Amino acid sequence: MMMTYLLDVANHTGVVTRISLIFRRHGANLQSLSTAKTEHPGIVRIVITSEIERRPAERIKGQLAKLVDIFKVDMISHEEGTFRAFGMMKIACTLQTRPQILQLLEIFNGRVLELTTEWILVEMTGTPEQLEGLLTVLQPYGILEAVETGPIVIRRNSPRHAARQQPMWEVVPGALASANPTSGADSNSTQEMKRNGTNLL
Amino acid sequence: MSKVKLTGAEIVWKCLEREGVETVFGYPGGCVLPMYDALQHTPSIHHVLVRHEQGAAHMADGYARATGKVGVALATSGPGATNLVTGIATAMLDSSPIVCITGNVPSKLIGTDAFQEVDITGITMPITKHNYMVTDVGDIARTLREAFIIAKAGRPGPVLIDITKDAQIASCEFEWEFIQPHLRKLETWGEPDPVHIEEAAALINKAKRPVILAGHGIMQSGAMEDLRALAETSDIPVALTLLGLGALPHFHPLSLGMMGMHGEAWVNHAIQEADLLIALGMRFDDRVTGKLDSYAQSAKKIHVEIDASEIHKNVPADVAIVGDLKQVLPKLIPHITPQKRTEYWAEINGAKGAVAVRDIRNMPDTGHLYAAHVINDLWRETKGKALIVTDVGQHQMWEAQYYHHSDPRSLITSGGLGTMGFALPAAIGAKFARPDADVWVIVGDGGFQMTMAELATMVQEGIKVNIAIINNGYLGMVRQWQEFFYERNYAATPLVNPDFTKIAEAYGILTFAVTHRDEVASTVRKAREHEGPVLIDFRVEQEDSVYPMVPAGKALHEMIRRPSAIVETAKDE
Repeated sequence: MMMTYLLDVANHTGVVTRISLIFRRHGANLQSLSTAKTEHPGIVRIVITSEIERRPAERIKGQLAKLVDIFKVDMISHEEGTFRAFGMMKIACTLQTRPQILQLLEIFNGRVLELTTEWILVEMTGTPEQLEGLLTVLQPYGILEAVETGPIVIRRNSPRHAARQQPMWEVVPGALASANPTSGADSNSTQEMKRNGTNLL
Repeated sequence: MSKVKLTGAEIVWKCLEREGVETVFGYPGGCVLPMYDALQHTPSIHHVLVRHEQGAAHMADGYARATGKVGVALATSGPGATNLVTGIATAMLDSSPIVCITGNVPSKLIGTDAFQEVDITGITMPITKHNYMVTDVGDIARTLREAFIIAKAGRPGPVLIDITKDAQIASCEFEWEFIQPHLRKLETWGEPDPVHIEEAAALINKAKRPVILAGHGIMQSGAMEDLRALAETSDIPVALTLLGLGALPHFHPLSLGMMGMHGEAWVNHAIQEADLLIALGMRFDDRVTGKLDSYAQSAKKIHVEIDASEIHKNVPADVAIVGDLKQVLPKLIPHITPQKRTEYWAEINGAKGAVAVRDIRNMPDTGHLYAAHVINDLWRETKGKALIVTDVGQHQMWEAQYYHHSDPRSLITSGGLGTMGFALPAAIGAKFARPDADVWVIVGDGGFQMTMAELATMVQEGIKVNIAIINNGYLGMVRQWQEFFYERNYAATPLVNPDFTKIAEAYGILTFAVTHRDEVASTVRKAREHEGPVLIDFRVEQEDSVYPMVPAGKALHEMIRRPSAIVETAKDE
């Protein structure tokens, strides 16, 4: 089963290693991993897709949540999120095939980046399935090179509060008093997570 | 407030001092020389020179387990750091809070395969709760502060800090009060959900055959009294994991004893036939469940555990409560209806009585010395009040069966990782943590030889630890498996041993060799009266096995029982 993990992590050296070690321990291969900054400074969003069974996937989730560098672990199904990936493809292209390829690109919302008499370089943004679709229809013309980013995703029905909260650093008793009180999460969803026994944040 | 300028090495010791560290177990080397040089300015911390870094990690572990305080180990780069690895993994699997500090080559040389350079943070990532590499002197204090917080938070565990030599030499301003740890919230569970408390209470109140499974978490949380109150209110039998021994006194009427692979038959049967399991601070390890598909089939499960990732991991829970037992149990107990389970207990006690006749202690003295006798006599002589540290193997299981622990933290043993060679160094660490305790090492002849170099540490430090070697001339537990499952093909298990008494004598340790049962008690007495450390070589029956035994991969009730031939009065299977 294809699993998608959304991780909010601290921007620390080695955090990707710690994460990938947990997947490796369960024999899970990472299909894609995309990591980039978010609207919060110091917080990085990592999206990982991996082909795993449900039980090890849950174990991985629990063990990820224990990592000190990870603020939040979320698993998301296909229906729950809006997925987008980006792809670039270099297609063999003659004078004869060029109109057909351009027509296909129009259907798929692809864009031409470069064009020569021998090949055409195109880009496309869409769901992983749409990218796959474009690749399939372009196959007969000859694909010289194709690259694709892993998907990034935003949960469609986010919790009630509009903005994602800045994860808090803990205020440790004994040390210098600091300003940030801990965040009051939505009580309903917290209870749900407690019931599952899998949330740690 | 004026800030003081200190070197990185000095900051390390100042921070340890402020964390309340009194003892550090370590071994010097090139990349920790600045720290050893700065040690002289910190008289409040005692440094124990070990003989092998594995010993340092086990000592820190033993120290932590004896008190619950964080143990600290110090080692140099390269081989010094890698020698810690077994000790760190041992602490990880048994949730023991330790902080290991290693030196590393100067930061300019990192990644160049410099002399004694090793990527120890990379190596220990999967066996620590968290680890750090520090290359900037300005990060040392904050990192140490965080390490101690992480080691203790929630489910405890090991943390490693690797500090490059240049960071130890450089200096910066230091003011402890201004060090702000930069961690996310680690105590994530909060108050237990009242809905779950009520669901759990309802299950307990209507259960006919409940069993409490109590683990290490009881001790970690300090919830011994709450466990007792819960069990007594609802008259529920309590089975203990190996690391849970002592959570409820052995002779408490509700105590069943140890469960699992070498648990007594009545305990495992009670679990298999239960209609409700109340798992408190334990993780359903394969050694306590046997085959999962057939584990306590008709029982509902309540699982209270501080580590959320343990819930549903091996055994799905019907009611799961993530939290600290010390917070959860007082919320749960008021919802429990007091009751007496007379019939249920009559059944359990019946099963107990039937097993007692098979007990090796009830057999006549045939001139053979059995390990079970040694341990039972040791228990009698120490009145059950010793702090026992065991190694791994047959003697470990006999200890668990025949030394009846009544106090929490009175048994220190490597449960999860099963690390041979653990006992002697861990006992030395424990003795430093509890100098007044009567510390006994119970160790096999195989495991003892893995770390017996630490005898020198013990002598150099002038501490008294008593060592009981259960010497059967075999790697006994492996031999037992070979006997049961490999047609007695004793491949690589017979040991040609040195004379342990002579070895210990060379260190200036008082020694005894015991071959007969009637000498056991008197020798133990002599050992306790002697001021310095004592080693007793108990030369026991060679091919004795630990019973009962659930073969690996079998259901918990499918035990190999004590052979009835041992006891003539035992008739039925």
